[in-house]
Amino acid sequence: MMTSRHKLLWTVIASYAIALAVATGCLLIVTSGYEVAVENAEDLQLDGILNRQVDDLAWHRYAENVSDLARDLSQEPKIKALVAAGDPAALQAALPQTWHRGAVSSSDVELLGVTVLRADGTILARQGSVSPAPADFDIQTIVSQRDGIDRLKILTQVWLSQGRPILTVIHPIGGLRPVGYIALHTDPLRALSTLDQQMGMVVSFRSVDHATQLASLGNWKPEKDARLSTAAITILGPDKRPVMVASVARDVSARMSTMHEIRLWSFTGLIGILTAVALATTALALMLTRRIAFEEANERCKTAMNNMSQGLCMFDAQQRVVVCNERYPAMYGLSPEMTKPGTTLRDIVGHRIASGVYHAGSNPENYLNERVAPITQGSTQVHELTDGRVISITRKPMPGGGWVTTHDDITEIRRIESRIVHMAHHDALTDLPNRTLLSERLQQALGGTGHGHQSWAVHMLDLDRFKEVNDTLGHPVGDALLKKVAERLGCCVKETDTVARLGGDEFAILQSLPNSIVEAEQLAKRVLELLSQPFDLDGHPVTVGTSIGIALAPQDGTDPDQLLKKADLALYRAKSVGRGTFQIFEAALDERMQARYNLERALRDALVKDELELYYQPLINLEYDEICGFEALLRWNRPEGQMAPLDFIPLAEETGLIVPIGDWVLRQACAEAKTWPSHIKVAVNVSPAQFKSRGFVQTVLHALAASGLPAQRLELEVTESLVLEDSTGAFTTLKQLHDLGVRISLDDFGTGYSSLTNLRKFPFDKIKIDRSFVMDLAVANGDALAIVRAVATLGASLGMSTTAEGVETKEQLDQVRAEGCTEMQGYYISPPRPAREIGHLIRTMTDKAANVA
Amino acid sequence: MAKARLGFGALRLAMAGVALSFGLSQVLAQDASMQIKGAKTVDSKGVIELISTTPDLAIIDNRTKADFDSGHIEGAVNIVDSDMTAESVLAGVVQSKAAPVLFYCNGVKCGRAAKATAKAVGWGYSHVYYYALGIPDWKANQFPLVTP
Repeated sequence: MMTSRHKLLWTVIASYAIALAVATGCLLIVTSGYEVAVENAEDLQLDGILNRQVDDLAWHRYAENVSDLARDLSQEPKIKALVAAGDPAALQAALPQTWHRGAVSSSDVELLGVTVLRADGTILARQGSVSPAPADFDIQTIVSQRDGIDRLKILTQVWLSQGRPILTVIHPIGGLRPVGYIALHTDPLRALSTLDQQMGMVVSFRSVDHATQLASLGNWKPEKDARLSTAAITILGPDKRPVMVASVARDVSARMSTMHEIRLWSFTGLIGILTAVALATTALALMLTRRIAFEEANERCKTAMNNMSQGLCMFDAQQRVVVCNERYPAMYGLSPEMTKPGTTLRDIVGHRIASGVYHAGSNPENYLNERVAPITQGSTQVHELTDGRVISITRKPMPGGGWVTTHDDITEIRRIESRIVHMAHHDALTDLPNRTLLSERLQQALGGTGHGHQSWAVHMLDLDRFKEVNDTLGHPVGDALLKKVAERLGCCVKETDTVARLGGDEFAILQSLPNSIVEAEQLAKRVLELLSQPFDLDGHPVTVGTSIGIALAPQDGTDPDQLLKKADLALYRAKSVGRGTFQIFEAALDERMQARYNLERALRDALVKDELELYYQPLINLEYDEICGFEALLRWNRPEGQMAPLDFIPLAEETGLIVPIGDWVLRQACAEAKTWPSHIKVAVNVSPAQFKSRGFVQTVLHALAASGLPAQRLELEVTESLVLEDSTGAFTTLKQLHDLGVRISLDDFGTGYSSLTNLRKFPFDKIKIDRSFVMDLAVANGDALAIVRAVATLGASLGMSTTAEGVETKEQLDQVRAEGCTEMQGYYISPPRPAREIGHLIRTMTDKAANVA
Repeated sequence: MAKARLGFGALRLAMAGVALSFGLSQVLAQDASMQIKGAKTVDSKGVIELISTTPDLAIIDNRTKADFDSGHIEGAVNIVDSDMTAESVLAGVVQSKAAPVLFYCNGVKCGRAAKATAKAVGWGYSHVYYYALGIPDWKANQFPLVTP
């Protein structure tokens, strides 16, 4: 991540590099310029020195020296006389001596030659190595052409002999009345011979045209790397003509080396300054980036704090606000200004009291003092504000004396909590107390009875025909009915009484009986009266009744569960006595009821506890004398022993438990029959209640589908009463099942109306002749025999099988066979057997039948 | 403003002082006059003409002996001006007060010739010549000198 921090740092580094480069460049330019300037100054200075030395000192003095020497030689009497005499030979002979005197008399003058001339310019004699050729210096013409006063004058001339300058002084001989002239030719360089010493540097002379090196003074040679400052001037003769060029050079390395030092020091200094600046800038940048990072973190922290649902506030040891989020003042309706850092807790609490959100009580000052007491340990307090909000305030002390408070608006949580508590104790549909709350109230009430001798009644209500309303008008209408019932019940009780819904159509009333139990009866009557009035449910006038069972405390017990159970027993009795009544629990009366009640409870549990079992009794085809099917018969294996169907089936039918039990029987029979040989059918008894229940056809189909048993192997045995009760609906169901392939047999034929009309109405597959006829076959009057014969004949003519039930002897078997019954069943062949023995039974019976045959 | 005026006043005073001192030094270090009353001032050319046309010309070199010995005008006699204490000194060299006589020294800056000339005139010499510019002028004109 290229952060602003990195960017800043790179910017600083880049700026530093650029500044360094620029500064270095500037330094180099400045110092180079300075160096050049110094060099130029050196050169100029040298020029000046050279000029001054040559012009002012050496040159003129030398000319005078030569002039003095010429005067001395001209005053020599011998020379003077010989010139006057005009004797060249004698003069030439005398000249060496004069030369010698001249050469030694002045060490300052380098005498190169002497020429003696007559006054008219003719040369009389000459001496020395230099003698001017007319081309270089026409001495005769110069002398001869002078006239008047000029002839008296001394003439100084510089000329070039083979490029070399020669200084010649022509001096008159004979004073102001000259007889001739003497000319001295000298080397002018002599005049400058000390120049090197005077200037302290090498001086070299060149001809004017620079072609010839005339002389070099001084023996200094510059070092190889020496820095030289040079100067050159043209030296002019007395007649202002250029004579030669003098040049000097000196080593300025030492001075220049100081330049290097200056540059080095400047550079070092500059680097130092820039480094310092860079360090300072970097430090500043780092500080800035840290500052930025700090501010970012701070901002994030602030955002996080301000987006909390809680109010947060931190105080220091002096109870002043250090920091708080926006939520904090907003919770108490304070302006942010009132909680800015530095504000004291006292002020804030004062504002809160002033704004009216706190119940400050009668003495606000005391309240205030209490609220601003120092915090020494963490605590959580819950405050209810005047507007109903509930605030949980948690304080946690911090090291150093301050503390942090968290203010949490728990109004909603409280509301939900109370709602949950309410829901746990109330019925969702009617909002009446539920069984739990009723038990609690009962517990409280009974706890009080011991001391206050207060009596209580527990009414247990059960709506009559509620199931019918549910089934015919649907559950929504059923629910609406329950609500209306709850309303009516609420109207007829005292405030101290509790109406509860226990579930389904069961209600209960806990009634206090300050005076006598008569009040309980009065309430029960009132309730019966009220609930017997029709209810208007969305335009449906519905009338339900109720039955009430009442138990009394403390005489019937002080345990809530026990009381409820006794009320339930009384209710049970009320319902069995006749609906629309109430019964008060009576121990003796309810004993029998209790047994029945217990049996019902046990039967409900039997299905769950897997206590039911099917036994099978074989049906024998009398034509082939072989097993053609089994009738499934229900057994209840109770812990205290097996119970026969007759002892519990009526109760099951009465309570409606027959429906789930019947379903189980159907599924179980189908599943077990599937394991038998494929020609063997299974016959299952169907009770009227089961048959009339919704979805019976579906139940049969499911049982067949789940087991995989073909419909043709299932035989449903129905009683005649079923067909009689609701002929149309029953016949429709029978028809549907018959169309599926299920066989239908008419059970216990002959015991009821035995209406032949019914036989016509539906094509039963089989008629089962009740066992009572078979038992009576041996009776002398022969009625039974006639009936059996008639039914068998009837069956044969209608195309139905006939089965004789309860065959117990060989004689009975022979008789029913003789009368034309097609099948039989009974103890003679086999009693009902558990499912696990059926396989064995089929095998042995096949053998036995074979033997019989 | 008063201060500025005072400043100007002081400046003016100082300038006056400088001018005064300059003038004084001029007076003190004043060169000898080019003209001496009763004498005729000549240049180098005039000297040569006198020498060549006046055989009885007395040439008096008023410089020191050392100067005289290092080179003087041909025919000159060395009499330092300070030695001219009496007429007799000059009379020993010049034949008469009517005889021509020439004085020279190292020029107006030297001043010895001026004094000598003035004395000669004072003593009654009638043909007094004064070579005011003296030896420097002589040398500059490249005229020859002689040594004893």
